Amino acid sequence: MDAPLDKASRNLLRVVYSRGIVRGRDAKRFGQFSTSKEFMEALQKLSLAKLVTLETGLTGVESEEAAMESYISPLPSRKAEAEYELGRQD
Amino acid sequence: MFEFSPDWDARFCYLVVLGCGVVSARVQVYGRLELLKGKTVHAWSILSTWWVFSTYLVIPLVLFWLLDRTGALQDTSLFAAIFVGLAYPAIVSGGTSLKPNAGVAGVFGWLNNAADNLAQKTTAAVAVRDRLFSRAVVGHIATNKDRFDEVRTLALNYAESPASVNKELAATQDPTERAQIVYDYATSSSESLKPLSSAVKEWKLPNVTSPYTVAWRWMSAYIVIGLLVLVAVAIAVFGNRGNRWFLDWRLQQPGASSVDLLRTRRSLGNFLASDDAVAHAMRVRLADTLQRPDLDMNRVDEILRLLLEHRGTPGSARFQEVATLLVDHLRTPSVDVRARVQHSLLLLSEEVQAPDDAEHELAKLKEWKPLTSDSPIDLERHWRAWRKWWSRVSATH
Repeated sequence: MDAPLDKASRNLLRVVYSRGIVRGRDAKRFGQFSTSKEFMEALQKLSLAKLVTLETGLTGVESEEAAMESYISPLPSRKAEAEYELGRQD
Repeated sequence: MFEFSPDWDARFCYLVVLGCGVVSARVQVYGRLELLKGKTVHAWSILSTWWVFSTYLVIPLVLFWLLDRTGALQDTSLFAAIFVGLAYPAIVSGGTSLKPNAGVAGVFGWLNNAADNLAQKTTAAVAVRDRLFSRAVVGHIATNKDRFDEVRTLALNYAESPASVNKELAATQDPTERAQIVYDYATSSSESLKPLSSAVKEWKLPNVTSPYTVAWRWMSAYIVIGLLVLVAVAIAVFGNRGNRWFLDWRLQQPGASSVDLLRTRRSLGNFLASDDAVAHAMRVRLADTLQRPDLDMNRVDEILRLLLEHRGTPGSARFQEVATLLVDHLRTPSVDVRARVQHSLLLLSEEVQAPDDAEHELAKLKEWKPLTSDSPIDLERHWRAWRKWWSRVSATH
C-alpha cells in the first residue's frame, strides 16, 4: 500500500475537493499554510500523484507567483482516490 | 407495464418526454460539473456544455421511440413518457425492467465518458474566464475608492474571519494587492461569485460583464433557438401534411393501443369524409400503405374499412376514386391483401348499376380467387379486367 500523503498535502486536497476549482492564493489562504514553500510542496505532491490538475496560464508552478496565479481543480476520475486519501488517519 | 396509464396522443407524449428530459439533462450536466462548485456558472457560457446538454436532451426522445419500436412500451402512455423522460439513465444502464438493446447501453457509456472528458476540459476554460473576470474587477476597484469600499464590505460580510481581511489589508499599501485581497475574500464563501457579480452588474462597466449575465445570455439564446425548433417541428407535425403523415404512421404502428387506434381512425375519418384535395391525398396515402410488405393484416382491414366507410354515395366521384385506387392496389405482392382488395371491389360493384353487357364480365371477375400461385401475367389480366369494368361503369354515371 502506498504511504499516506503528508498532512499539508491532505490539507490542500481537502480544500480543492471541498471548494471545487480554486486559485492558488485562495487555496493557500483557505488551507492556512504558514509559508508559500509549504503550499508549493503540497501542490507539487498532489500534482505528481495526479489527484489534482493545474491550469497555470504559465509554463509551470516553479515560481511563487505562478503557483499563486494557478487554478487547481479536482479530477472527477480521481474523486474516489481523493476521498480515500482524505479518510486516512494521520 | 403501464397499462393503468392514461392514453394520450403520441405527439403530446413525446412533448412530455422532452419536458422531463430538460430536467434530467440539467441534473446530468450539473452532476458532471459538480466538482467546479461555485464557478460552475462560467461553464454555462461555454458552447461544449450546451452540446452535452442537448445530447442528454435528445437521448430520452430516441430511447422512447426505440422502446416503443421494440414493443417494451407504448408511446401513447403518459406514465411511460414521464418514466422514460426522468429515469432514462437507469433504463439504459439496465437498472429497470425496461430493457433497451445492448447497442443503446454502449452509446450511453460512450456519452458518459465523453461528458467526463469534457468536464475536465471545461475546467481549463472556466479557469481562463475566471482569471479574466478577476483581473478586470481587481483592475477597476484598485483605481476606484468607492467600488473598493463596496467590495471590502462584501469581503467582510462573506469572509469566514473578518479579522483576517483587516490583517491582510493592513500588511500592504499597494492598491492592486489590496484590491486582490478584498476580491478574494468577497468570492471565498459558498456563494462564490454571486454577491460580487450582482455588484458588478450594477456598476455597468464597459469591459466587465458578470458571469451570471453571460450565462443568462447563453441560456436565453438556447431557449429561443429551442423554442423556434419546437415551433417548426409543431408546425410540421400538426400541419395538414404532417398530420396526414402522422396518422398514417399511427395506423401502421404494430403495437399501438386500442385507444390510440380508435383515436387515429376517428381523425382519419374526419379527413376522409370530404371531397377536397386533402382527403384525396389521404386516400392515396392510405391505399399506398397497402403495398407495405410488413403491414399487419389487422391494419390492412383498418385501411380498407376506412376507405369503404367513407366511399361516398354510389356513382359519386369519391366512390369512383376509391374503386380506382383499390383496383390499382390489386397489384400488391401480398396475396392476403389482394384477396381483401378483391372482396372490397366486389362489394363496391354490387352497389352500382352496371351496363347489361358488363354483367358477364363482372361474373368472371367474381370467380377470381387470388392465390399465391397467381403469375404476374394472370394478375395483370385481372387488374386490366377490373379497370376496364370500372371505366365502363363510370362512363354510364
